[in-house]
Amino acid sequence: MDSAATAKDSVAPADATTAPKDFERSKEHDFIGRHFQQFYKTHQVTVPSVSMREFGFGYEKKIDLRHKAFQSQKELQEYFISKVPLYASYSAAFYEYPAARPMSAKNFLKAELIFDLDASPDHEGHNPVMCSHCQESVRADVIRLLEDFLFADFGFSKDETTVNFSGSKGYHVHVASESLMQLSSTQRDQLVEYCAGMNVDFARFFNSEKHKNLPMVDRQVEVIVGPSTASKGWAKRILDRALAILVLPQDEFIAKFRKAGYTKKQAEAIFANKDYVASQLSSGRWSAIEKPDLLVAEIASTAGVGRNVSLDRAVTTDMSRLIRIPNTLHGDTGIVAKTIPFSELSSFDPTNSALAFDLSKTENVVALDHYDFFFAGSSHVLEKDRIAEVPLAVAMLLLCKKKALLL
Amino acid sequence: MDLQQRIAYNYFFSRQARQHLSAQGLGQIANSDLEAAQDFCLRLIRNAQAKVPFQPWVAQDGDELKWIALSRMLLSQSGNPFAARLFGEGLAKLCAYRLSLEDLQVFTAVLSQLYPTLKADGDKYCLGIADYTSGQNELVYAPLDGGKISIDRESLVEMASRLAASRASDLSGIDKAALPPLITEFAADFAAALPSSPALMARQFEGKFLNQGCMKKILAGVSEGKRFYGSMAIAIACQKDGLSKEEASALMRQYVANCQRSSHEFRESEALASLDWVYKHPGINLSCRKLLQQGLIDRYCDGCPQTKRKTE
Repeated sequence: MDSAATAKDSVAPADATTAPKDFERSKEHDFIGRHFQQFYKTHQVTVPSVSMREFGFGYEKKIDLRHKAFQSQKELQEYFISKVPLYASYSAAFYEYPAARPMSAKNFLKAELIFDLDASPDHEGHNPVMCSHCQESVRADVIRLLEDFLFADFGFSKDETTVNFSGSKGYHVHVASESLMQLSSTQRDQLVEYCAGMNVDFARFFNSEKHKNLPMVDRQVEVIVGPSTASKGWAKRILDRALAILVLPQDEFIAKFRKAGYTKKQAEAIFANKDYVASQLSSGRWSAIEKPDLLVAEIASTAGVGRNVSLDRAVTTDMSRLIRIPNTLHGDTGIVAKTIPFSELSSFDPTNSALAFDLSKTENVVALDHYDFFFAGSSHVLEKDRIAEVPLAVAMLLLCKKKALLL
Repeated sequence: MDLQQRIAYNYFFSRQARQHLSAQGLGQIANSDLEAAQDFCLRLIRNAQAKVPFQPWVAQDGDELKWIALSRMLLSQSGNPFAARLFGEGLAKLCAYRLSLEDLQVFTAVLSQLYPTLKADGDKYCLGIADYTSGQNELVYAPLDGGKISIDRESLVEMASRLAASRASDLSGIDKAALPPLITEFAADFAAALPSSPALMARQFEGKFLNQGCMKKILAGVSEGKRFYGSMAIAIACQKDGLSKEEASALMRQYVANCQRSSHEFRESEALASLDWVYKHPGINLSCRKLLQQGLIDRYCDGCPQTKRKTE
């Protein structure tokens, strides 16, 4: 295999002055660069409103240089082919002068609304090469973000919303609605807080009312009034979750209530009256359940987006942030940061649907450790310091992750 | 007085008010105008402070618009965000009273200027997310469904008056350097007549930091662009003076309430995030030089142990 790039095709870091000093040209780096370059020669990177965006590119880090601007798609594509960045990002913001510095000189015009979800690798059995648990947990939260919050509560249009796989573990949701483009950072923060259910005082959805003349009761009775079927927003979400718990099979029901802090006896008593409890809660009469605050706390701990994954608040609120350009390659994986149609999201597997490189071609690599992972429907087991012939896409993944060397 | 005039005279934030001001201008400003503006401003501040029973009125001519413009210039020159906030609140109370007298047609015509997505929906009103979050409304508690929030007239007036208060007390667009000399001269006496944040100014703390003049000044509220740094300074002072997190949080909330409200909201959560950070990093020291650089103070405090130590 020829690892030396020709002069014409040489893969150089962008501007010598801005490239990292310790940029190292290795055989692996050249190999990755040459394949990335080939990808960009055959795949058009399309950026809406290209001339109004700021661009940033990375070789060693995600962003080594920023404040770049392009007048046309053609100019951008030429940059990809000639400079071959490993990471490519653009601004969600639109500027009058996107290349100007400092930021204030760019003259901010408007910005897309972005939600960034990423996997938390702090779970048992995390696979450092390709972790299906991470992929699935983020994908599930993206679906919940879209269906429960962005479409249902916020009423965002599907036509103005796109989902992009980041190329690694995360997903970016872009909302390009003109009515939202002028939202301030504080307003965007409110949207993230809403979706995550962060900093919510759930007690505010409940009132304590004192009733005197209840039938057959002499004394004053305190009644807890809370979300009912007429409620909307988070109040409705609390009720819906509570009702969903009430229809769980007995074992799961008891386990859920025990987890919430109820005794087994209390949980069993509620289970025995669950139909009555459900009808009372639906009418907003939360006194029907003992210690409703415990149940609400349990619901609150799981009802928001980003409980098991990371919903990066700063990406949404900081409008000067740069975000991965859809349909470019991710330098940590060699996988495409692909735009995913909503209909394909639930079954989306990046190792099948976002591959940039051939699975039929192979490459010999030497693994730097023992790796055992699943990729594109096949299991791959590599022994440390042993030569392994793997599909090109797998070789690219391992080389990009610096977990293997070329022969 | 026709409907357009009535809206212009009574609702300073309306398109009609802007048109009236731009057509009439402020004219030749005389001392008597500034005195009238000062009376008007102090009357609103008293109304906001509830030191007297709320005394509303309905504007019969365009004079009030002139007084509002002059008051804002004087407040900008006086550098007292606490007073600017009270002025905004007083004006907002007045607008809320006037709105309560309006019929549906005028009510909707006025408020749809603040909230373009506003629609009457039976006995309620509906508005979109962008409008709802433009004030200090917490979306997470809103009855949100399909991007619309349905609220009653009373809540809408409350929301609108908060937004009106923000707009009235947002002095960031006023170029102090371009103010007429007469206003600059008048502003010195005007500033002396304005209230300072009394509870905080009088409060004595146990440590040496929060009692310093610089901290008292910051606690009384700062203007937009300085509010975050102000919260950092207070957080450090609280931590150095040994306040518990709870005490410090209460103080921080007072600080946020005193700060200038403007189009760029400064939320309690932002200030409390500074506090969290500082309490997690107790080694952070207070830098008087930074306070000066950030424009939070205009000179070092007399007898400050910090600057004294440095200059000795």
